[in-house]
Amino acid sequence: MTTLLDVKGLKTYFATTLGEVRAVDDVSLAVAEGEVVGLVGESGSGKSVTGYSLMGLVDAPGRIVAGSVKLQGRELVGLGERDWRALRGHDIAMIFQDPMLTLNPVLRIDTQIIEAIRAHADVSAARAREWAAEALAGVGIPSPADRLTAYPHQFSGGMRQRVAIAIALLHKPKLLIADEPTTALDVTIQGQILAQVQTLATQMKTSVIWITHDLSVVSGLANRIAVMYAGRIVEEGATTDVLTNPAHPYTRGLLRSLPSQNKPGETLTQIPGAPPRLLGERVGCSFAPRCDQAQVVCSEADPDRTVAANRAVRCHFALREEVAV
Amino acid sequence: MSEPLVAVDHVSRQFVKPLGWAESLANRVGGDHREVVVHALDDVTLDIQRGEVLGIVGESGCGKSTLGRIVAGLLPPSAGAVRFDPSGSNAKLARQMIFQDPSASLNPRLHVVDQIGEAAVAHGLVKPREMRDYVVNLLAQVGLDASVLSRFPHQFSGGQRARIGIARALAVKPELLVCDESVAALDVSIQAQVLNLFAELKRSLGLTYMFISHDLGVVQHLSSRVAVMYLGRVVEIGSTASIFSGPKHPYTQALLEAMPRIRTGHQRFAVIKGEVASPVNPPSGCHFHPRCPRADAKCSAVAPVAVMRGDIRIACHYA
Repeated sequence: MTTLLDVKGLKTYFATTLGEVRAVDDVSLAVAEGEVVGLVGESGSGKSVTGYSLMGLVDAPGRIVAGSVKLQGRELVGLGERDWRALRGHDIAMIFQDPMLTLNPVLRIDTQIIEAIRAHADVSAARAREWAAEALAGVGIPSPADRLTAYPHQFSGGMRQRVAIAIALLHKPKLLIADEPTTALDVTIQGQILAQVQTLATQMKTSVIWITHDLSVVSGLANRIAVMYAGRIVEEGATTDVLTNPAHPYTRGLLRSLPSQNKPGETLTQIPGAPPRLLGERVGCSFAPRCDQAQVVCSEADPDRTVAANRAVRCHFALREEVAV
Repeated sequence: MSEPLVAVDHVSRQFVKPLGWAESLANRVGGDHREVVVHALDDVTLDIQRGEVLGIVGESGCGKSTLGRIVAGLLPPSAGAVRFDPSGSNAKLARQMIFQDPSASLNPRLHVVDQIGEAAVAHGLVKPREMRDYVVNLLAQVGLDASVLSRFPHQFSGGQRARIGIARALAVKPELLVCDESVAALDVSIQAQVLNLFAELKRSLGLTYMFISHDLGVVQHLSSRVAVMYLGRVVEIGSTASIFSGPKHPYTQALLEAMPRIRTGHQRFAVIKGEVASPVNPPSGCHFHPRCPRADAKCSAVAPVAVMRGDIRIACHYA
């Protein structure tokens, strides 16, 4: 498979009064054409900021301090706003958790969709309207031509998210970044949205980065999974490998703490403590204070990213564990 | 079986939005504006046995939070009755609620020690000069130490705030805890810690829980019995094992199939069409019929009466 997106050593820091927050700290990730990658992490792990960085949406006080993001070989870091505007919505698109914040509440749906269409395509008003209706039909909105004249508040949460997805996929982007788009939705609606994105991405050969805190949501969707902790990808590999044979203690802990992975009624295996703050110098492995396998070296030296057997892991003892299994 | 701790008997609850002055005026000159009535609960009957965990699941708008508030005594029912039969003397204190967002339910300007101890002192459970020790003891039960006594809620992480909310509920020696999405806002690794704490407190204090959640995995883990709600009605209720291994109601089946699970290999999503209807104008007959794959004319005309199937009580014409 050809590589669509190649992220290397990405660092996005935020300047605060307390010091520099290293929200994304040395993230490397490659996404192949047509691939679905699940980016999983808890709050504050840097998964959303990674998404924003790929979209060129990092505003002051944040900035990308190092690294490269290449889309089909083209460097995106340092691109001017003009170039970004041509790219966003055309080659890369993003959907967010709360469609009420992405849709303009005082504009009708048709106005918003047609604006997005004509930003990248030179088509007549009539054709744009047709296109908009087709897009709504494509995400399963009944009687799309009539719904075009509605306002966002007249849609339910699930329907609003469908509209946001329709807008994101208007120009058949090469890469879709989905930032927790189903987290606020009910399970049955979540299932519908997941199915829709699955079908459309396959049809359009769009690659997807699906950002979520919920391992079980991406387990049935993603080809590969990248697990983030404290601004870094601590483990990355094929979905089946990561889920059945997690190499990083954090991934193992995360899987074991899921109620569905435990027998009902039994005590859940828990990860002690809480995620660290991302302020100041990084000394040793960020997960070491919570890790049940931590040794002296873990609190002294920061583990490097090691790649073996199609798996990238940041842990001093990951590979030893894998040999043992 | 002994007397249940809580008996909810044919409880209904409506919320009415009264007409504004403009609508009333318009009505006087021949307008036809009606009050908006939300049917949050529609004839709910269930009981909670002593020492059990009753899980309540359902999608948004199904009335699970309203039911929780009614059981906790925070909201009166519009019709029907709730019987609460605690063994202690103070029935008001014996049922406590733990909310989803502890940063919203804790007072931002109170020290933790007052936050937790105030109610116990006010109700005469402890003397004011014993309050500090009492609170330290409670904090230990929820896994926090005495060093946090004079801190404010904003100085804690989400998981710690959840623990403070639990300690505050425990301070008045409740018998029933109503937990409304109490772990929904927590990260997975923290959620496991709090779920374990709930289970531990149940064992050590003999607590009874009503555990409301949209997360089926969490409910399956913690509950001994589960009630599934849809648009204000309980559609299926029974032991957790029976419901999760062999759900009878088409809605429960759809819900369980849509539940995300760790699995390898591609998952087919979307097993159920349509969306939950508005509780302002619920569908006729069985509320689920517009989305149900098995629905026929009877379903849209007649609301099904609950029947027993093994240890499951279910409201469906074709179960």
